[in-house]
This record gives sequence, C-alpha cells and structure tokens, in this order.
Amino acid sequence: MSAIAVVDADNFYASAERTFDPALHNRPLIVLSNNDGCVVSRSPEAKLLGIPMGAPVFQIRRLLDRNNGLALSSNYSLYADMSWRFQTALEDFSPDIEHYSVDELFLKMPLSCLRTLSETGREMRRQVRALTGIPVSVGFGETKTLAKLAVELAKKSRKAGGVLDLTGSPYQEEALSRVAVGDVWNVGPRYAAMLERNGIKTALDLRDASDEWIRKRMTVVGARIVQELRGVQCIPFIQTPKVKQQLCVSRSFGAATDDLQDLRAAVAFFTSRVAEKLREHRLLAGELTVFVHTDRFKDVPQYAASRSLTVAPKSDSTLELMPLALKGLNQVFREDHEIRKAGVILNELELADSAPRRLWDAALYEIHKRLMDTMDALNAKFGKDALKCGVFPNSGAWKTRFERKSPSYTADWRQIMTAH
Amino acid sequence: MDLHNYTGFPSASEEHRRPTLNLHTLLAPRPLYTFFARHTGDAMVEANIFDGDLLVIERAGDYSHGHIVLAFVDGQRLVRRFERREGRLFLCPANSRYGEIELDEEAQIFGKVVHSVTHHLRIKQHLPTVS
Repeated sequence: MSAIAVVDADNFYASAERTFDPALHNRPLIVLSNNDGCVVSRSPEAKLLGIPMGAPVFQIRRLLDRNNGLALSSNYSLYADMSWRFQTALEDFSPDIEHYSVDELFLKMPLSCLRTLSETGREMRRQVRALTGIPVSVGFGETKTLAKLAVELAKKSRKAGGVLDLTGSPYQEEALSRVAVGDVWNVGPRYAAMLERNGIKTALDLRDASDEWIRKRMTVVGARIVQELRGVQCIPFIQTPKVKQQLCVSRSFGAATDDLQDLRAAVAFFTSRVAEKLREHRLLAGELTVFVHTDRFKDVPQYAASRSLTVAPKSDSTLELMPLALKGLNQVFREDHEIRKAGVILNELELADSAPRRLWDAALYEIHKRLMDTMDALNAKFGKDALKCGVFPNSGAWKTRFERKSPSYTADWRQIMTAH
Repeated sequence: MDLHNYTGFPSASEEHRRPTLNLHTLLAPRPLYTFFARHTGDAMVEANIFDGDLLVIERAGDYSHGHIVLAFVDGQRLVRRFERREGRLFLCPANSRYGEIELDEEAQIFGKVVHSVTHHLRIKQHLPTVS
C-alpha cells in the first residue's frame, strides 16, 4: 500500500519572521499582504486574539496595539529563501515531491518497514525545525485528498503533536466525520453549500454519496474527490510549473489622490513592475487592463472603472506596454473622484519562446528586447528602480505604505542579522 | 574561449584550467544549513571575534560544550560560548567585563558559529545598515 504525505508549514510567514528576530517571540504577530492591506499570516498569539485571516489592518490595529502586537509587511525574498530550505530539507524523505505552494508540499512515501509513517512524520518535523526554525504539520493518507484532511486535523488536535497518519487507520471514518464538507480539499464554497442543502454535511457523507448523483451535480470533478476520499488516487502529482494565467501589480495609495499626474506616475510604476514580472517568467501579454477605484471604506462618492486594451502583437516590452497603460488611465480618469487604489493587469499570456515571430517592427522589437535585458540586469545589480521607464510624480502619494518590513536576512549582505 | 572560431593551436594550459577558488565552498559548503550574521560589540574579543566581524552560522540540532553559538535571550541576539556544567547550561562571554547567563527553557539557540571573518581595511560597504 502506498501513502502520500503532505507537509504544511504552520503560519509560514509569521514563523519565518520569528526565526530571525527574537523580539517577535511570545507576542501577537501578523504579516500583511503586499500593499499592507490585509492579514495574510498570524502567529498563534494573534489567532488567540481572534484576528481573522484577511482582516483589513485598520480594523484590527487597536486590538493589536492593546496587546503589544506587531504588524509586519510581507518580506517575500525572505519567505522564498525559507521555503527553499524547508522544502529541500524534505528531499531526504522521498524522491517524489510535488512543491505545491510556498509553504506546502506533497511526498510519495516509499515503503519502509524500519519505522511507521507517524515516526517519519515526527522526524520530518524535527528536521525542518532544526534547519529553519519553522514548525510544520504532517498528514498521511492513501490519496492527496485524505492526506490534506489528515494535516488539517493534525493542526487542530493538540494530542496529534502535528502529525496524523490516516492510512489504514481504524479511526479514518471518525476522522472523516469530523471534517465539514466545505473543508475537503477542492470542494469550493458553492459546491459546499449545494451539498449541505442536500444533507451531505461531512467528508464522511461525501465519501458515501451516490456516484451517479455526484457525477450529475458536480461533474467529473466531484467524482474524483469522492474517489480520493475512498482511497483511490485520482489527482496526479504535478511536476512541471504551470504557465501563469494573469499578472497583476496594484497598490492602495497612502492617501487618495485626484491628481492625474500622480496617477500617471503610479500607473507607469505598476506597468514597469508588471512588465518586469512578465519578462522574469519569459511571457508575452496580449491584453492590458488598467483599473482605478475610490476608497470603499470611506463615505465618499464611489467610483470604480477599468479599461482593457489589446496588445498587438503580444509584447513584453515596457516601452510598448507603457503608452497603452497611460491611454487606458486617461479613459478611466475622472477629475471629481479621489482614487484610493489602482493597478495594471496583464492577460492572454503566452510563453515568449512559443509565440509567432513579428511580421513588422521586428528590428525595433529586437532593440526593445536588448534594452529591457540591459535594464533588468542593471536593476538586478544596483537595486530595483535603479533604471526605469517612467513618468515623474508630483508627490509620493502612490508609493507603497510599508508598515515595517523585516531585513532581507538571507538576500542582502547589508541586511544580515546583527548579534552582540 | 570559443574553440570553434579559434584558428591557431589551442593553448595547452587551457585544458588544465579549473574554476577559480570560491570562498563559499570553504566557509559555507552547506548553504541549506548556513546563515550569516554581523557581530557587534566586544563581548567575544578574547575568542578573537571582533566588532564588525562576519559570522558564518550553521543551524543543526546539537550544540556541545565549547561551541560558540548565536542565541536568542530576552529578545536579543547574543553570540557567546555554550557551556554545560553540572547539568546546567550557560552562555559565557569571552571578555571579563561581561557576565555569564544561565539558559532557561525560554532561551533558544539559533545555530553555531563555524567561522568569523575579520575585515582589515574598514571598507564601509561591508558594514551593516540595519540593526
């Protein structure tokens, strides 16, 4: 019998921050999304305060202050480094690994008579903890879906100590009966509501549902989930990274603005960033969307608008995307509204290597490509925005409000830890 | 050298050339385990660890009597010698002006210092900008 393990880091961002900074221990700590808007990670102390995931920071600011809590901006380069360490540490346990997300991976567990899966899980925890300081939980099941269910239960149960093996377990039915159907992996909120209306409330109910009924109501997707709950592997390991569907760069402004020049500068900045991302992933974009909206939490006249423009031929050149973005902005701009948030989204993405060659402007595009390569290389060497294509701002209203970002402990020699 | 476009005889030395020594392979051969820190202050001068030194730190489970470690104590990062005496654990300075600290369960050891690198030209770019 084969087993699948899922290893999931506990409060990954908050835990990664704590590895480097003892001043963050034993107090509520939250990490905010990249424009400092919402809570994306919480320490156990912050969870105890009742701070929900996704809460806008202004709603929880006072609660946090009263309890000596701290909010940090996301430090993505740090999390990427710690993710690499934690996921690499687990390569000793299996040759078959699916890196599912920054803080979660699946392993196909080889058969072993030397130790039980629970012992292996505890060893995984110990190793990741030793290498990274980050606590992880481990779940085992016959399928990915059962493993995910096991890891969620492992996180909730104090007794489990962060490890739960559901393979061939006499408690499997009991475990399934304790998980709400909406918490089963791949069951979205709409299917969950439909299932509950039809009396299917737990994972156990779903496992024992009629195949025909499920196939009719939830198509083959639902049928696969049910099979997985019964221990039949239907969701394959994915080894290759998927092509991204969409890239977006947006920010909430520190202060709302109705100044077109400020907005032009902001949109130029977003376009530069998103085009950088595009080139980093070796993609071309076929559509560019600019959006703006007013402050939704404030009692002001509300306005929201977006404009999508075709990028033809598909491009990754900041110089070609920029005029489109500014044109889009001109079309959505209204003088009488203070804009609080804006962004640029790229769609219809295609791998640059598989895109057709340009019929005209090919020579000009070659020049753009060399210029972009040079710009990206200079920015990599001298820091972001050393060189940029842009529009000058009147003020800095559009700049990211950084709450407080931790140092790049692992990525910049000038920011490594200090110790006395 | 691009040998396809080279029309003369290849230099005999070329085939013996190997990559230039890279200090990382010596000081930090196990990147997965390795972190870096900057030492400040004079608590460890008698162990030849000076203000501004670069510390190469390895994280690994076990710490033995005599290891120099980076420890988290009372919200601070400290570099000290780890000592085990009569079943008790201590962090000991290498400077008589500092006292030793007994470790309790609250304290955590981040890793052990495997190298310290002293810079002798006082070039600013090597110094930390954050504390």
